[in-house]
Amino acid sequence: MFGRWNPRRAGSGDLESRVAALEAAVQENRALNVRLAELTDVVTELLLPVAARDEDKLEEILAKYRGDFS
Amino acid sequence: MTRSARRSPVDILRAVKSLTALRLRGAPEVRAIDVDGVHLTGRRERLVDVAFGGRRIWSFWLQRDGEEEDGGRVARWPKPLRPFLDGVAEVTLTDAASGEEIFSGPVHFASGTDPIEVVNPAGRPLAIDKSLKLVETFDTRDAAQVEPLLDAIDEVLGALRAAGVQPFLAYGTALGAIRDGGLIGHDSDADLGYVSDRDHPVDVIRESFRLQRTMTDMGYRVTRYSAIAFKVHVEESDGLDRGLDVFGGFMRDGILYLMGEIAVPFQRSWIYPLGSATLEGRTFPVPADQDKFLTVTYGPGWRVPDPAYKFTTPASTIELFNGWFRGMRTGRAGWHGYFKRTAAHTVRESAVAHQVAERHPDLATYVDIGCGRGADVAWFADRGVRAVGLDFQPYAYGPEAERRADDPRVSFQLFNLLELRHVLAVPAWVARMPGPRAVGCVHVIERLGRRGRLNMLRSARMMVAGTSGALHLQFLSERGRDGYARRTGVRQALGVDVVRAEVAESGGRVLECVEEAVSGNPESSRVCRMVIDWPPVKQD
Repeated sequence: MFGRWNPRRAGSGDLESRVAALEAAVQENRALNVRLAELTDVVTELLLPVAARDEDKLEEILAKYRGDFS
Repeated sequence: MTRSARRSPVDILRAVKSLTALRLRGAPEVRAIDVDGVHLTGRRERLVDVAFGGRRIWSFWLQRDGEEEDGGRVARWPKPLRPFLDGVAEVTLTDAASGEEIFSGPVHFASGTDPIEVVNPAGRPLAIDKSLKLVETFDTRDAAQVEPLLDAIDEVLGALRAAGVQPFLAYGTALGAIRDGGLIGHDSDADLGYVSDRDHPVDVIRESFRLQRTMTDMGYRVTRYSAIAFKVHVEESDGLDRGLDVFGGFMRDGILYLMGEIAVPFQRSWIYPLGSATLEGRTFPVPADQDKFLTVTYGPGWRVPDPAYKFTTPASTIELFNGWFRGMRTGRAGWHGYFKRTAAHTVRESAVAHQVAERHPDLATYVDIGCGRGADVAWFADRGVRAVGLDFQPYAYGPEAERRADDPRVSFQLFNLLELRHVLAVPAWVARMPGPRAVGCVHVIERLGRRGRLNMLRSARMMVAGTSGALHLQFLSERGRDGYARRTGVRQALGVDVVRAEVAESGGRVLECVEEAVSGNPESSRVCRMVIDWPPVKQD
């Protein structure tokens, strides 16, 4: 999925297999929404106390953060 | 759906009326009722209610749910009902549209002679819901039992409002309130929804994480089902743990997306400002345009009750929600079933545990990814090692966690390899524990996809970072005909080459790789045990 779009490669194969490949790519891209939200959540919730180097606070926040996993 | 959304209420009523008339003509005849199912004649589609001892336990659509057989159709008993079908039941079949009784009389199932009672171990009546699950439905609860649920709905609506969204009754609960002013008898849960102010999936997901945190802070137990839907558990005054489902939604480019069935052109003004409807005598918020909202949820026929209703959500909507929000709970139900099935089995520490103990006599912390019942965790704790059990199935490690509640060396933590938040935050916690730290992962990766496996390696790498410890992995590399795959719950084998490639991709190296048969049986399964570490990245 990475790298430059290659029109020759994209145009190969029959329409059915091209659509299937396209659908797989769309689905993979849709899944990035969750990844990005998760990553942003971790950064905003955990990284600030790490940067502040407050050990006790960090311990507390790590415990609290995993406390609502379900 | 868009076309029907533009139809006037009169048009819809007319359509409903003609559908009802169609159902009334030519009642079906019962050919037999036996352990296989209900055998009927009749070519017309009709909704049939099945009652045992006068209490509805199941409803089905004859054509949609029935199968063709010689001389008619058979509606087979839903799987969860079958274990009850041994004895005698007073069966009534009713045409739901006309109320006409199609059959009434005693039916003998199998060899039993006792009356059949479809109840749970606590003696509470059960019925089949629209997902074909056997649950406690509302029609068996009297007014005094409904009050605690209404209190719970009120409470959770208030909590969600306090957390910053504007919730309303959704799905079956909205339908019941708007259509009948009450809970739908054949329903079993309460559904709430909200439409976010945000318009991008990423922001709506982040908001849902925040909502969950706020609800947890308020003291609720919350179970996440997807990136924008979760269940809030409320213990009702009768001691029942009732789950209220909260479905997130948002609008983008004129489309309303409401997890998990709705993706249609809609206007925000049809939702907000919220209107109200009465549910069992109490007033609750519902979307502003009740007809438009229920039409996009249940179609223009929403005014006609249908206990066997099935969503006809377009495949494109399901795919869209799958891609955007789902995929966090893959495999969880399967493992729950496995642990339930094997609850009485004795579990012993694994070969990996012995291998780790031999290799690291000075081990300070052991982490078991996918700890199951926690046998390895207990074994290490008893040897004086700090032990952490991680699993996405708390049902499995619950009893051991309870036994070890006062043991400061033992921690159990819910950990899902399909959620990046878990994969980053839990290792950050473990990395602060004393070293050397070693990680074990026994018969877990066979059931994971590539994303889950790479997340497992990422977690292990973070957990052992800065210590002499390693990851000790065991997986089924060749499935034999000895039942090992079923016994361990892994179902399938995983190629050694696949694992080697993914270890390399994660920046790790395989220090040891041993494959061996699990028994002397010539058709024995084979397992692979790998020791993996991650050399420190050189800094220039």
